[in-house]
Amino acid sequence: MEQSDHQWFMVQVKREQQRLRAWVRSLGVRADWVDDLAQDTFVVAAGKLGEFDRSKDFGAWLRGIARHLVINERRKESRRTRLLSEQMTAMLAEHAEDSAASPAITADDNERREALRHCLDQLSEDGRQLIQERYFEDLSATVIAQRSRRNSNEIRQALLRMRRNLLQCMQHQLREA
Amino acid sequence: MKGDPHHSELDHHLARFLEGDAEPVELEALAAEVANSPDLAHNLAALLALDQWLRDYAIGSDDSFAAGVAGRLNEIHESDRDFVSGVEQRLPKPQKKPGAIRTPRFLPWTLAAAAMIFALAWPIWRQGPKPGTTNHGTPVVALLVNAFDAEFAEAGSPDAVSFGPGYYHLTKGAAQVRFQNGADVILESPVEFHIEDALHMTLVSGSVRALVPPTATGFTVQVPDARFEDLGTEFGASVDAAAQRSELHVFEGLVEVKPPDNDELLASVTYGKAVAVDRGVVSAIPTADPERFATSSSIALRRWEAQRASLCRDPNLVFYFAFEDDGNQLENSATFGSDVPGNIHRARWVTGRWPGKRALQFENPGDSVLIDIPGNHAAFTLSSWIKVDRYDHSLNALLNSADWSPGRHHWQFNRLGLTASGSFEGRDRTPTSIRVVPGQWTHVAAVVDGVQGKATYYTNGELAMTETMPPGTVFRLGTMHLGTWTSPNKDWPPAVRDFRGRVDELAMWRRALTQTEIQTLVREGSPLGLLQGAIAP
Repeated sequence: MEQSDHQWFMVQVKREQQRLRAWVRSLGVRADWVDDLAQDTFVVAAGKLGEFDRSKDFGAWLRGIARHLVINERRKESRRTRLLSEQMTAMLAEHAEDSAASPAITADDNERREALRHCLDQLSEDGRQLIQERYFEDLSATVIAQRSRRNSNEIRQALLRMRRNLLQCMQHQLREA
Repeated sequence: MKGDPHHSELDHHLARFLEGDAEPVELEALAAEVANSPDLAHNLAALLALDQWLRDYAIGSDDSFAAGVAGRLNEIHESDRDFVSGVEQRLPKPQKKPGAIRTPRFLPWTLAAAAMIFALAWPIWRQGPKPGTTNHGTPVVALLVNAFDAEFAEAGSPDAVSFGPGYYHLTKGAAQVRFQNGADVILESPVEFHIEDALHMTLVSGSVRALVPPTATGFTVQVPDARFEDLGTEFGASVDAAAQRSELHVFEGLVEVKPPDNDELLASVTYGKAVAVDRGVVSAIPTADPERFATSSSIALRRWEAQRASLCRDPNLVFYFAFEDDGNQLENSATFGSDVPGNIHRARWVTGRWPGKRALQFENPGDSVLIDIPGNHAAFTLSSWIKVDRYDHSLNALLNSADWSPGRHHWQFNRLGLTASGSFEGRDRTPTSIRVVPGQWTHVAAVVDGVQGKATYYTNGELAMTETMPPGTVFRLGTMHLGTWTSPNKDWPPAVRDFRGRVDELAMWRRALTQTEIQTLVREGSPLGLLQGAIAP
């Protein structure tokens, strides 16, 4: 890659990486493998940068490559663990074109971060505590349950509720923005 | 929705799917639902995307990802280049030496390090162009890869770091020589020997330890009246020239003892056994004694001990914790250092870089050392040896000021092992793709120059991160926590940044050290003789 192409490309990496990671995750990739697959996507994109028309949407082009890579994952026997479920990924990838249009996927990083911060503040005390443990301390539902002497299914359900609340709030915020 | 058993079952599967722990039968059921409902598919995709935003939000900085991509692109670029020529360029240039008189030579570490790069590349080198020759016109069959205080006699010294067939006499210190086929021989002075070729050496007097990988099976050490032929193993050999007596101690595998001139098998010596050869007579002696033979690690330990002795006297040290204590306090070994105690809270004493050397293990919440650093600092350098067990948090704090306010400094690593440090006044933080890899003893250094307005972080002597700040920034580090950090504020999110691993050695200077000085700390403190992590090709 020419030096100028490399510089342009690295600017794109910084600009698109968060959106791309969210996209990769939304295709049913295991959380631990999201960074890896997103990096693979950028490496593949760098290799075929000559094919990209710079007047087009780079993010959309990346998402196409990522989708292709994730679908390919299903064919790789040894790497199947990168996916939560082969079957689910097949279906998520099928509907992925539509999800890409949602404001949450296309929103700018700062807007989305602000929306997330605002919505986290709207959660109940317990809800914040749960999100704190799950994401900021990176504890599994099982560990959170053990710590609070609760049933792990209750924790999973509570997390699902918090996520739904957050999502609803964020969609609202981002539409307003 | 409540009370609808269908919905609650779907939610149950959904919740487990999002946590990544759904059973196959649950996935099956969920897939069936999703297949019938595009809305559910979109909703699920949005929930997964949200999960990722939360993860990214928790990590905060995202420089490491871009650095990772840049690193991978760079790797691809690098592998296109001719590896062998790259390695050869790094080797010291041969010097013409006039006349036959040669002086005893101290072998500087830089040369040994260069040789090590060459030795690592050897498998490739063997398939490529012909190996070089020494200045004596002989082919290179072995290289010096590790040494402490090593001096060779006039009449028996290598050509810089290259050994061809010939006579050698190590008069001082210890050295490790790697043969072309991969066998390592560790020499403890005084020792005299001949190198015949890549598979054969003759021990005239003194003792050596040989580590023979499968590629070098058949490696033979000849002694008076016998030869020790190795079958993939580790052993020690010693010769008492005056008494015409030699010994063989086998630490691993099998070594055969044969006469010098034929293939008759005199003895097969296995793991833990030892024999003596006394004027051609082989006899068993008590068990193999590994203590008698130097190791790569024992050379490294001696090098560090020498470093420690000179470091203690450095007038610029604020504190130097060598981690050789066993109580509740770290002792400041800096002769001219400030009165800086290190109060250990719960962290346990464990084995450090070498057997017998101590380190602190940070394993449970609250394991820490509190260090009060008095005064203002215009510049400072921190240096430490760490072995990370794992990265539990988005940020993992090694040594952080208790809070985050003007003059404070945080020294930490992100989940990928990339440096994510900084000072309160800092900006333009730029990490490289150099990581602290879990499970390996790693040297880390923070060089913070408030006068120039620049901070530079190193991992194994390589640039890991830079940061700028307004020139003239003054630091007031205050109480620092080693091995943990918890946000003292009520901020969202309240952070937890416990370090998980071992720390062996921590020092602080009241000036900015240069990269060369940092690299010296790395070389002289490395637990391995061979600095693989530090100077990989």
